[in-house]
Amino acid sequence: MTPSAAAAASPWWPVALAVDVPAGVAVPASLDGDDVVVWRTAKGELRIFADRCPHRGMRLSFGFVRDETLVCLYHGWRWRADGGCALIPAHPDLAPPPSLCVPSYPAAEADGLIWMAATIPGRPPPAMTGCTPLASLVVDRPAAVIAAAIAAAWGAMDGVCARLAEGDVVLRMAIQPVHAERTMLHVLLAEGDPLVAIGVAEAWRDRFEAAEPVP
Amino acid sequence: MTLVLHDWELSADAYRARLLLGLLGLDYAKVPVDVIPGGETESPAFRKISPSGTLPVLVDGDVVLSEIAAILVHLAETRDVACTWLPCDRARRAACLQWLAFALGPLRASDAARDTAMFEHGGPWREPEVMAHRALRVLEGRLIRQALQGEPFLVEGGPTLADVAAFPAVALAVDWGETLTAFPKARLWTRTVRALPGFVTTPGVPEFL
Amino acid sequence: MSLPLEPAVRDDWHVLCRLADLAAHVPAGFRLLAHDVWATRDAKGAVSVRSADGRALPVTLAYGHVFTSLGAPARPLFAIDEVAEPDRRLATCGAVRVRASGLRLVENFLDMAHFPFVHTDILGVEERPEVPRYDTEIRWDVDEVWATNCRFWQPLAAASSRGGQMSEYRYRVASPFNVMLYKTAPPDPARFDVIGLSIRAAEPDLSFAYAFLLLLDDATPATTLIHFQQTIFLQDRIILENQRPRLLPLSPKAETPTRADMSSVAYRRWLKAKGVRFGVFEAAP
Repeated sequence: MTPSAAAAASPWWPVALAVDVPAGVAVPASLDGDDVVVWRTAKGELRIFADRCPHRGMRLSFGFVRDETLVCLYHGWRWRADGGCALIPAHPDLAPPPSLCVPSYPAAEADGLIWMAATIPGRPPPAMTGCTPLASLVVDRPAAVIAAAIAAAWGAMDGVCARLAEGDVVLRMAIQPVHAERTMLHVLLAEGDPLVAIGVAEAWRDRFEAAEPVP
Repeated sequence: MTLVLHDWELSADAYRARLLLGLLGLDYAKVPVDVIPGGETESPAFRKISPSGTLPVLVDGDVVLSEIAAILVHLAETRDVACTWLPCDRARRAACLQWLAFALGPLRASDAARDTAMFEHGGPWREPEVMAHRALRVLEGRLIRQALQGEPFLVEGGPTLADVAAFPAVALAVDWGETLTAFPKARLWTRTVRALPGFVTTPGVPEFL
Repeated sequence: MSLPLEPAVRDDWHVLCRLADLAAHVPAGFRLLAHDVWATRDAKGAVSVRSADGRALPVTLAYGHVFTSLGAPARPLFAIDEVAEPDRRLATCGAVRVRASGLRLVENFLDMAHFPFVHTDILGVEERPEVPRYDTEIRWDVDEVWATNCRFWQPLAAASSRGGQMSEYRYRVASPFNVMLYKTAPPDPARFDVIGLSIRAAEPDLSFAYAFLLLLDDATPATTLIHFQQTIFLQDRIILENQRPRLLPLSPKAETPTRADMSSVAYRRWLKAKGVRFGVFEAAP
């Protein structure tokens, strides 16, 4: 599965567990090499922006949330949830022009996962009904290698999602291609004990890292 | 008795000591040491208080300590009457010592990666970034399990020396380019540590944590 | 192999290292402008610098540092007149490695608007973020960029500060990788402290920053002065390593300057006019 092939199947990509981005917090994420900042306003509204302040190129994921705005660490420029600039502190009397804004991406939250899309999709993100989010695990292998390893063991993936069963544990995984050599596995628990399940998920992570490259 | 800390603002170990001193609410005098560029830790005068040239050095009356593990344990044993930071309960104490040793052992690769990234002086570590990444995975695995049990710190029941010792390695990882995107629970944990009463920051700890 | 170095960079003076870091008779290797060079100090203190192909390169020793050039400098190293004043102290802060274009480092050095956010409660406070209008000029006769009449409220302007002050700054870009500022000296507000920042551009996106101080302060221990400066620079380093792109774009449309960025606008315009390419971001064709 290449990211573009999977994008044809589902336009949504997982970027974080919802619980790992609480209200008032900004975190960086990468999707296929593109850097984004996933953040929530103080009231909890979810947004995904390009991770670059238009002013001087500073990564906005280094900034902090103040009320309903994301503040750039470098010069304190404040960005509203709609992407527009609310304040330039060096010139407090200046009204920032409406054209000044940060590019943003469609974001959605469903069943404990945060999803993003490149363009506004016509359908909701994949359902993980009845699952409990467990953890996001990094795998230092390309997403295609992991997809192939999953397919070999558990059958073809459903878009970016997979179902794995081992012993009393049933896991759902959503796969995020971070960049050419790195993937994040967002792991949810369908059945079983959470502490046992996380061990199972980590063991699968290790197997994915040992998997052969796709020729 | 006035505590004296021979200190360098940029040292991760010195920050561990300043962090615990802050969390304990202790006053102390700082003696700045010109590590870079001056190389003062190599001087005979400094070697008298720190035989292997390690920094920081804590002077507490007759007690002179130049190993960070000893400094942290000494401060907890002599200044922490509530037994918060080095728990008296055997099981919690054992877990605290386990993760304290981890923080000052494998996780210190992050300090070495930082020293390499900033000064090209990484010490004896080989491939410190690779080693640090492995250690961060172990830390993340612990924090995932703690989170599943509703525990925000490395040891159940509250913050300990283990969190104090681990925090600089994790929060300053950004200095060698590690922004913790692959370690979401570690990111959240740094916010929890930051919120502790008496927390002190140091240059390099990013605002977002 | 990359393009040959443009004359504006090749024939300029570049810092190589601190003089004190060269041990006698032990050649030390440095990366400069994507080239390897070797510096040696003899027993008398004289320094020689050679390129990898054995060419002897020009050397100037000044402000506690060794400066060299890969080409033939048309003029001597920038002069700082204050160095001759008998009550000045020189302190050198050592090298800090930064994964960013050296031009980004210079531009950050010229910037006042970040003080309240990056150097909070030291060089600025969030409650007073305004950058009053200041003047910039490209002085073509001396080929330098200046920003003058700069003012900013600072709670802890220097290691010797006892309280807040309205600091006055003058910024001077003496060459693309050498910049300095003249700033109200807390012990004598009628005179100026000088802080220099010279960048060894090792690669287009990898730099070593060498800061030096020429201060009037004679009471603060040198180590305290150095630590103050290192603290400030470490705070800047987080920014510098996380600007994207790592190289400096010169196109006016690449980023969004405001009035507070007039010095950066002048700097970029001057770099473009001089034909500087090393460390410059060029959009893919």
